[in-house]
Amino acid sequence: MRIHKFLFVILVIFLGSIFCQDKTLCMGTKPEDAPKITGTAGARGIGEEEEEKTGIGTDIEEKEIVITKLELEQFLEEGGLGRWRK
Amino acid sequence: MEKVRKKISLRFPSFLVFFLLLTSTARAGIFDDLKKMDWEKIKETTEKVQRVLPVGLKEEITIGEEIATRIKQKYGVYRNEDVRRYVSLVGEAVAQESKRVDGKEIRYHFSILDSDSINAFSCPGGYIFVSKGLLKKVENEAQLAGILGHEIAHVTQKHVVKAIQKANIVALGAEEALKDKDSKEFKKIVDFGTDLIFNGLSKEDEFEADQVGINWAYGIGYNQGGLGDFLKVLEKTSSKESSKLTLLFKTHPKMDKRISQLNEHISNSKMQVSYPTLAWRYKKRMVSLK
Repeated sequence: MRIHKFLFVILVIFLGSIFCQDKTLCMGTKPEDAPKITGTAGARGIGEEEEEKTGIGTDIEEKEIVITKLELEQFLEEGGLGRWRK
Repeated sequence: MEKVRKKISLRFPSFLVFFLLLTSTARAGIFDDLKKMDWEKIKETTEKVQRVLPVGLKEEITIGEEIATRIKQKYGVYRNEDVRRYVSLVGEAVAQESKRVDGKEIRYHFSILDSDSINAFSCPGGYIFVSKGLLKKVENEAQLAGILGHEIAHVTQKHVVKAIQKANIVALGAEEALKDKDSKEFKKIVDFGTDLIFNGLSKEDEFEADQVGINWAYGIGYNQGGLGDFLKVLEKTSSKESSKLTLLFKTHPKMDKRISQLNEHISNSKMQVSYPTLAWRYKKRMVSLK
């Protein structure tokens, strides 16, 4: 009977160790105390693009280019494209 | 009764050993794995997968128009009606061969950006941009057709739209926000789309755009080497001009990889007829480009 009691105690300790795996609690480190990651992940090379900002404030309105079917056909014919390709 | 008790007491140690072995395995593997899983993230991802933002053609055009305005504001527009008409004609010719994945017809708008950097962009809804710097570097019409084919392919394959849908950046039930340009949700979508264009689509999307674009350019009768030849020109660009290519290199896969994939595609697709490059027309129509 003694051996059974002994094994039972071992079993309880073992099961306890399985179900108590929250090391943050066991080791005294709470999640809120953990160091926070504060990098600039995903930040892109803004510098190189800043110099591209030449159009800010300029008039960006453009006249709509209307291309007629006839104009496109003539263009294709001139270049030997579409149904005129050889 | 005594017999049964004896049987149990005899079997208990072996049962215990078996149980300990079993739990050791579980302790080593399953429990650790379960613990490591980020259940909140899994829940969030499952919810996102379940709701895909429906972006129809009308919404796509509205989003694209807004992104296009931002691109124009960033670079400014180059005003030369002759050059723009010529670029539009080449673009329209290639677009004639194109077909959208959703089978819907779309109207394309071609603009030239007032920038010496070498780049081209496309926005959802058919807004295509090429920079003045790129036009100066292009050698012939077939190269321009290849570039425009690549940009048109991003639109027809709905690369940006799909990325917006995949990212699920708007809240559930925000479909209505797509109709309201002033809404926070709409702004969020446009911000995301603009960032995507300036930070680059996936490599797969870029390779697909190369191949689909060249199919159409060749389909209408341009030399199959157009886009590949232009990439080779860029590869040889001197270090003096490398700053003009910073964004293009940042947003696209490596040139040699693109060139080799294009060559492989051309030989696999049996594009054997050597159509013209129309260098003479390009030079003639670009005389006024400054």
